[in-house]
Amino acid sequence: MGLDLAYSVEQQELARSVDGLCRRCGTGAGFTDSEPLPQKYWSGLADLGVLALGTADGGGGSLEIAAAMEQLGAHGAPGPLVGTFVAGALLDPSEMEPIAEGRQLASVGQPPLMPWAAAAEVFIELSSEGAWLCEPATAPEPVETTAGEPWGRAELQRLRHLGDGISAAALGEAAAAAYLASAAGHLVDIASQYAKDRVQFNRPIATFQAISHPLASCSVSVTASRIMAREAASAIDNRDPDAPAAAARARLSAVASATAAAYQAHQTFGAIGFTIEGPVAHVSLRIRQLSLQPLPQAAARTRVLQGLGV
Amino acid sequence: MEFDWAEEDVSYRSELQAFLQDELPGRWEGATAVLGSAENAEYSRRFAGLLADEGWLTPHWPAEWGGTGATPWMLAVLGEELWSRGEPRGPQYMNVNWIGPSIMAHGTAEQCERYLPPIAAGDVIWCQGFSEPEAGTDLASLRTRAVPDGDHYVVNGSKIWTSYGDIADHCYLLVRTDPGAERHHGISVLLMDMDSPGLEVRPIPGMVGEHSFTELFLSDVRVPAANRLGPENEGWAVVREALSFERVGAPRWARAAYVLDETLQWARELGRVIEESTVEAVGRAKAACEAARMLCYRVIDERARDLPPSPHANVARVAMVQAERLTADACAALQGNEIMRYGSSSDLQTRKSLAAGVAAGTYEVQLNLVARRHLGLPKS
Repeated sequence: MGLDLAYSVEQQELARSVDGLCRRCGTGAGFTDSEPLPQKYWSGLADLGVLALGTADGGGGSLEIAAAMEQLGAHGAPGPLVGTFVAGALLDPSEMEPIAEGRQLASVGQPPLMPWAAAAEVFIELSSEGAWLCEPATAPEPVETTAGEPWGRAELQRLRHLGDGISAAALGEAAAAAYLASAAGHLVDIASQYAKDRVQFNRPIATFQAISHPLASCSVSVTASRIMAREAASAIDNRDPDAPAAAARARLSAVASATAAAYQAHQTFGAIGFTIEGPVAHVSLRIRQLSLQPLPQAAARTRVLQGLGV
Repeated sequence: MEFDWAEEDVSYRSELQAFLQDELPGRWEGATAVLGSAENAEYSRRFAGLLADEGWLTPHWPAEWGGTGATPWMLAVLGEELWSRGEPRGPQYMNVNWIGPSIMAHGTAEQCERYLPPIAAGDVIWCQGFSEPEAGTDLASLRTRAVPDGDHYVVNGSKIWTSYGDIADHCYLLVRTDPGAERHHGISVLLMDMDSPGLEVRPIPGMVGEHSFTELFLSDVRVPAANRLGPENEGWAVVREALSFERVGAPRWARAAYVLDETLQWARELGRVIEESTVEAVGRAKAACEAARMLCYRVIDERARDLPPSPHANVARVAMVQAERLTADACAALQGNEIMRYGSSSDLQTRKSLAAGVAAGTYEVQLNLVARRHLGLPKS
């Protein structure tokens, strides 16, 4: 069988379910000024089996995760998504069960500043040196974040080594890449629509190439990033030795294209883009947040070089 | 040609720095905050009063209105020192740099007497009523209408993205007084009191720090005809001249350079490992700040020689936006996850850099002006 860049029927069905859940829960701008993680939405993801994807018990693999994350990214949906998938690849089934069921949250990152630490029950330190199940020495100090997520500063004590974490990090990077590419695609879409609707100097601003060319450029890189994320997910599922490097490439590409798309969306929308209730701000903040996970970008760059034998 | 500061400028800077050292001990906690935040507005009012007492609020104004004969280079020193400390003048910046000078140039004796002393004393906040929902970059398509009625104008319409609208005492308001006139004609400037009946101010929560925009709704607001600044229907020329007073605008590069230095210092103090790509990002940002500084100096040099405004100001503005953005990239690379901490220097710099290409004229419009005026390229 030759190349096939489309999701399977089952994966498309999963994607539709996630999209439907996000629509029912009203994801979007409302997410930022309500509770950080609406229970209906998070338990809805658990009910769909999304939070268990990639685990031995949950079934599904990286491509299913990518399919779900593309939908979540298109909605700018919140939550410790990347951390959950990384945890699923590292923890024992019994440890993962409450997380997969949406009853506990996982904080995965590099201490001291940990994503979702102020609301999490499970802590995993993930670095280029490996992964460890941890517990905070004291209750994490809550840190207010720009995207409204309850991060925290914590001193972590390592409880158990969870291996080198390479595969889990790759899964997290592919998941983040899928989300980022899709969030960026959403921003390019709404910015393009706005450029068609907004009239200044008696013409839609989309007719100015200063507006349309950057959006077109963003569209190219976003499209590439989305396919690279799928390629990386496929490589992980196929246990391809190049998978960690592919995931790192996809993640770096997605960060670059999403950051550029966020910037261009702000530039196109002008002041509206800076309003909390507007269509851009909450997505651009989530893009910034996801661009930091699951590992620092420097680690991804190193991984790409390793893939090249450097 | 001389790239060293004159002795008098060096002394001016030293005296100013000593004053600021006393008044803003250590790192002023608002130094990296976003200009114009509501919580800083009251501080700014007090601080502007102190500056006024020392002759540093309006040193470039004529002596008649409290000036001290400062040269354009001294004014540049003042701008650099204050912006690099986060611009503790806050909203007063606008008053002293273009609203006051505009009133001086076009105001009646009564208007000057009424409006200039409070500005010179640092005791008043102005906002600008320019943009409208359908008139942003295309400001000349503004529709807020002012109809003469006896010795008043009756104003109806709305303004949007007005900074300080909720705390301002007065508004420098652009209105259309001749709806039949083409675009740039038929516009007038009114100096409106913000407690005028019929004026409603609504905040618009924004993501650029605590800085909220406001929207102004004007329903039969009566503004005395005596509050019109300059001739009726010729407001466009008045406001264009007003904005050219400061020519290159705020020295944003100075603030970006300060944030870059502070963030680098933060990384050093924490013993953070600074990887090679981050070093490159910091180098690029530093170079961009220096480029913007030099391009701003070229504009100040023109002003010091009494030359008319030129496209050099557009070139400098473009360079400042680039410096803001590259500084944001460098700070984000230095701070890593800390960029998500609300109020961290990389967080604030990123949000500021996003606004830099939109506020006070978009980046694209500045590039158009550089293409046309600086390179002589034709208009599309």
